[in-house]
Amino acid sequence: MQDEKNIQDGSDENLFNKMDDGSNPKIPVKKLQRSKNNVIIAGVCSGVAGYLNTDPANIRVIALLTFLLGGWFLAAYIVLAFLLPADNNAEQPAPEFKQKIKKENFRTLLGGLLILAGFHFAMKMFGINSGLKIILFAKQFVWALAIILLGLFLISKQKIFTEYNKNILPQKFSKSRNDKLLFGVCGGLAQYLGIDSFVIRIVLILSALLTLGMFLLIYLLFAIAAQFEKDESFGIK
Amino acid sequence: MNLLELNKKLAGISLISLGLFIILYQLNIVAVETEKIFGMLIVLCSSISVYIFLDKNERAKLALSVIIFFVGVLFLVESYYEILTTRGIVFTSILFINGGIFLILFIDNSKEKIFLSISLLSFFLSFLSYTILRKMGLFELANKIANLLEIFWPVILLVMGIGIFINRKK
Repeated sequence: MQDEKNIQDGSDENLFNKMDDGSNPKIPVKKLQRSKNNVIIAGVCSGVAGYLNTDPANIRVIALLTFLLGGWFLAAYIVLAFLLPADNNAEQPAPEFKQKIKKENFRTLLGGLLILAGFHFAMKMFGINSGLKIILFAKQFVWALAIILLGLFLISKQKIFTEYNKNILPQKFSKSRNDKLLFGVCGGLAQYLGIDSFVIRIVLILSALLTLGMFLLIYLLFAIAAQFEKDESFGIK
Repeated sequence: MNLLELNKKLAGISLISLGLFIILYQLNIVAVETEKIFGMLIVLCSSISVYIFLDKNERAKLALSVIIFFVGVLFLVESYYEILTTRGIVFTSILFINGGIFLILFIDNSKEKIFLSISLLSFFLSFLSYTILRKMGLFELANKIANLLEIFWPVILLVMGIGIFINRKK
């Protein structure tokens, strides 16, 4: 009644005071902005995913697949990277969570690139011109630009490789018990080198295919000669 | 400036000059074989990287540097010699590069005798593939299988990509 009276009286000030006094919870306003916590290049895909309330991985793979239709996404990405403001209010995640995000992003990117390549070759096989051809229009020129950009990136102070905690790397190579599909060789190598086991597995599969299975001899030698890591939970040494 | 920074700068300058060379070559301003220059630069930078990362507990970077080194060597070999059977060189190179990686990993940590065994086995298989197995018609067989794989290549890539994407949170 009081509000109605205020409105009728034209005294809007009371209404605003009531809104700001904390009794009504503020509804967060969704803003389209670049993410600062979940970034691969500039955080645009992650920002869009946050705005659409979906998983950033889906947006990233869709974005990669748009390359099949031409290079317009790349142009849109660059424009958005410059125009969108960064989300400066976001809380910094814990280091373990950051590491988890990095790992997930790496797998998303790797998986997305393989799916993109798969679709590209499938389209080529069926005689459909994929947009990747448009992007690689003047192969040499585009490669030259890419090489120059990579060179500039190297000269700048940017970090290219993820800095792993050196203490995490084991001193001795052993087959993995936790990260194991067949004999735990790939998991063990991944732990020893400090990289994702998916990379080792893909390299192994591709190498085995390209060497007519000869590479599997190397895998088998590893499986026979290497020992499993110590299982401290059962006291086996 | 430490050696790592210096190598990064050297690699950066090399890449920029290579990119400029390619553009100038495309515009018919210079006539230089880019493969040769690219190979030389890659070999130079990766050799320095191997020296930097050796015995520093940076095994992934060390392995990557060895791969890049051999890719550079491949570029140089290709620029000097005319190689007719490209698939054949891939077959031998994969095994040889693998041997190189594990040899460096053994040098990095000489307690791991298994790496030396793997390295020797890889070199032996690489040598075998180019001598006896080649005479036995290995490259013809490799070509046949590669042709078959070429048909299923998109399926292999899609299955691997989707597999990785689904398991990304594991």
